[in-house]
Amino acid sequence: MIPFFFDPPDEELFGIHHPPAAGGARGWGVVLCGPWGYEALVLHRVLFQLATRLAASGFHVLRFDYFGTGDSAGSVEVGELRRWTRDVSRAADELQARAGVRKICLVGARLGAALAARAGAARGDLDGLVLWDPVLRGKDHIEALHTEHRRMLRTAHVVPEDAGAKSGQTELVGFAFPDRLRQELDRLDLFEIPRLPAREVLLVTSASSRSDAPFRERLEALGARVAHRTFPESGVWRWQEDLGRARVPPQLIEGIVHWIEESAP
Amino acid sequence: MNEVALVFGGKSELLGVLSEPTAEPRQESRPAFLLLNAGTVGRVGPNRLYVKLARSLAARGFPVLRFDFSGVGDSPPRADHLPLDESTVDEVREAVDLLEERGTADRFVLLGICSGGYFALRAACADTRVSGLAMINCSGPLEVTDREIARTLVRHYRRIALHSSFRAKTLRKLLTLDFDRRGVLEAVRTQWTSARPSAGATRPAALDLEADVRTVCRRGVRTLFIHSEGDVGLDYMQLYLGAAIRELSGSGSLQFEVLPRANHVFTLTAHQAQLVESVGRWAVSLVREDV
Repeated sequence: MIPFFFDPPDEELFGIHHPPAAGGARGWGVVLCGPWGYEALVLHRVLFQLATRLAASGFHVLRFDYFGTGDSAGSVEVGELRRWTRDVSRAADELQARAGVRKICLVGARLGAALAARAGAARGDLDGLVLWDPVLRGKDHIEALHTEHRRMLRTAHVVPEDAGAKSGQTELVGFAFPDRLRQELDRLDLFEIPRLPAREVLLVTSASSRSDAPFRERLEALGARVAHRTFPESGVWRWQEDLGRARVPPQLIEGIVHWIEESAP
Repeated sequence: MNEVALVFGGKSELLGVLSEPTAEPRQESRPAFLLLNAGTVGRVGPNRLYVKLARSLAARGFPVLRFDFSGVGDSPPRADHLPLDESTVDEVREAVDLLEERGTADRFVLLGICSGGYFALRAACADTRVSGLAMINCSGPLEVTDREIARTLVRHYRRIALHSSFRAKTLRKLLTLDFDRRGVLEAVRTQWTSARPSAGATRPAALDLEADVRTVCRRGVRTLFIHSEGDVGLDYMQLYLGAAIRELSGSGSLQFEVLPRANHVFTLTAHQAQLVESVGRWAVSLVREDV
């Protein structure tokens, strides 16, 4: 594991490069794009395990934090989807430069999946794309975050002192929720993705959603070859005050690794 | 402020990020802070709180290392399978060695939320280079007796229901039966059964905790306890260390603070800001007292 900062001073992103295990590298480099907010904390262990497993299988893997999140520079108050989409692309460039790989596969979880799909469509050169329970419509995601926020306010020993915290207008489950991010999320609709994000796509859903089939059709209409896997674990990203209870879904990790192994040359 | 990523440690690859102040002139006399994992949460801390703390302290001139214990966050598990209460002490020593070798500081302040607070205390006892200690929402030692747990929970539920900012909320929960009924019943049942003469007379873990706190205070380690009003650790400390805390606070060795309306992991951003401010004020007071 090699941790490092990249990009210009004051805008540095934090990344961890997992080089492949001894025995030679495979042709693809894999960039993991995590979710945002409390979901990033809950799924941290899952993405760590996924990176470790992929590196053991011979892939160069990069995990990284978007600007204003995790160990990267900035605060979440300046977070915006356009910038985070650009961060995904920068991370892919960084892995190509560091590891000398040409082919890139992005693995995105939740909002990270939406960002990965957008970055793939903007770049036009991705070889593989894994979308794990992607946020398809930002409006639905905001509503889901509000539901979690209300659950947190009901169950945790907290008394909000300002209206923004009470309503979820200015913060959601531990993280500031700036206006610009809210507006961008409100407009986010992956069905309107303009171009093919990647030729090979794995759609992973751990909870049944009526949007899965139409989204798959949309990707196929753009020219993607889409594999769709469902897993019994659902809602592993839900908020818990005690993160020690967060679950790591092994079947889901193995399913993603297996698809990448089969798809990579 | 600069931040650099580091990998260090002999028995495991420990991963950390060092925040270094860039203010001139360089404030060499300031101790370095080490932020210890809050339970199983990685080095960014609950709700990214450790990043906020690190950058705020660095802005006040303190170098800060946030790192992951082996098996937590991004640090892989150790190969030697040392028990947690020994491996954490060993790994704090390695982190202190690293900062000393880099010339970052020669005095160190350990800060931890939840179990991180307890490991900070254990490490402070073992290393005389530690001059400050901040235990935040520490729930006591890892292993406590059934009776300690039960008495703490009974006190906790009673305080939350009758004497806290959460009274109205708790009343609503009681009326709608929207609470952990099994947990409450179990606490009461255990207190009842463990109070009988036949119950196992296991030595209370709080005795060792109090001895450790007295050891570091005697050594002149500036000690800060911060508890959220909603945190069960507040009840454990007041129940079992109340007298010692009052005595040590009176002599100026220890500072005890309660953040009202906050929960164990400071989920609301206003409470995060209050914690950052409290720790920052305390950090600056350490330097003033030295002068």
